[in-house]
Amino acid sequence: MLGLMKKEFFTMKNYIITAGVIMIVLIMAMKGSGAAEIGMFSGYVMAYISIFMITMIAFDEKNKWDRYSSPMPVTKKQQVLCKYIMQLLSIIILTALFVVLCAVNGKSALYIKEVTVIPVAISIIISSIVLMLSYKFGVNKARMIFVGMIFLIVFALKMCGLTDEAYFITGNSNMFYIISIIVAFAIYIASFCLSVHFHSNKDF
Amino acid sequence: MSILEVKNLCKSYKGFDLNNVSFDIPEGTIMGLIGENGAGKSTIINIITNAVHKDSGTVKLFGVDLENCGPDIWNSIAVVQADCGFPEELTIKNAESVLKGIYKNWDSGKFESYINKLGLDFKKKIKSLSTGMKMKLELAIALSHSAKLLILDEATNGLDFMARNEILDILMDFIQDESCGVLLASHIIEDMERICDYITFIHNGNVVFSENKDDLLDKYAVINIDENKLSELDDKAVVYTDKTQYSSKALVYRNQIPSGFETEKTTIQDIMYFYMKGGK
Repeated sequence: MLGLMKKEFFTMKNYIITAGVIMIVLIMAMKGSGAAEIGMFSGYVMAYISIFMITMIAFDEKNKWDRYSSPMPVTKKQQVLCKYIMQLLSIIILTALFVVLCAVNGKSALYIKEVTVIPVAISIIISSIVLMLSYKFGVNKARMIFVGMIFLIVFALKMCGLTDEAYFITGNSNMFYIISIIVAFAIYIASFCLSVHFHSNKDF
Repeated sequence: MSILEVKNLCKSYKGFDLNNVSFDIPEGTIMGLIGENGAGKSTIINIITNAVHKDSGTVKLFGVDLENCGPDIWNSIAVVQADCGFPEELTIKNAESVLKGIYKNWDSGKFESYINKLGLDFKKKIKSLSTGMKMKLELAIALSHSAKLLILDEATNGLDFMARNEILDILMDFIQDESCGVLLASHIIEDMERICDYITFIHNGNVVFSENKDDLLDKYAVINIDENKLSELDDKAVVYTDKTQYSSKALVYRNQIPSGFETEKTTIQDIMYFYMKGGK
């Protein structure tokens, strides 16, 4: 398991560093911006992180890692678990960096909570969906299905008149934040179980 | 005891069926899996290495059913394939660090000595390695965690004569430990003839024969005769014939040929050729 985590780390470290640098540069550039802009920006970064693992799975597909690792003393469950842990770790690391940068820029704790919690929950949910789709259909199909889903969601929100970003950033209670995170983790765990099932039944 | 036992293995794909494949590898031996491209060699290896699910039949590794194999069994198996599965951005040093965390018997000293012996460099990224170097890296990995069963799937393809010989010599060293075994799948028959103790010939998803190599070479012979003389032979003595406008060749059972017929020493390649061509 430790070996698998190292493999993911060696493969993705450049991507995490890139995301971190982009985040630092943009936050510095957005100094003095309002909550809505920073919230939108943090959402953008979280969406970027959410597709980290799909990139890692794409590398695995390209290098036929799954076939290569089949006779190794690691279970299919451990292989999937490793991807889910690394995805969560990337979200946590970049969220922590985002929080630190906001604090350094003198933003209040309330402000940080408002611009962080929902993007993190959304990031976890997006990760759950893309990982599960990748294990079921492979990366190429998963990307197309995911883009289609995003299009449908945006279209549905537009139809319902829920596209005002201020609606998401302000005026939500603590309970709303807690529930969002709980729901996101529940979806993540359900996605993990399905991914283990798909991965275990696949031929490589 | 057999290190690997395959019994009545079946797998169906669209347009291809693997039918009741059976063979086993005794301790201290090298089994060659031969057959034309698409015969089913890689499918068999993918099933044994847990990459593909079988439809029916049994596979036992060190006496344990494939479905019940735990980390101890998988720690004892090493596979060398045509593709190196590591992400290409990793260096050989990174790959070692990954493997150290996967195999409980990983031996860094042994790995280092193979890397040096095979002329590789720890700092090199996998993407910068040539096909031959990648194969050598895979072999170094396979030999550095005290594996008892080494499986090579077309591992010598695309390698020059020297590199192939180097790999075959390493395999011969590996098999000096009589508790080990090797399954070598390739369509380079001369490699097989040089090092294998047993040969399993797969044709269109079926096992044509699975026998001791020396017995096979003793059992069959090739004769060059004209058609009239060929008819003098008992039908049971002739396995297959290959007739052209000017000559006839036949694969025959050596012990059923009457004296007076001049036989040639056969090769695995001859036997394979006749079986694939078919026809009496």
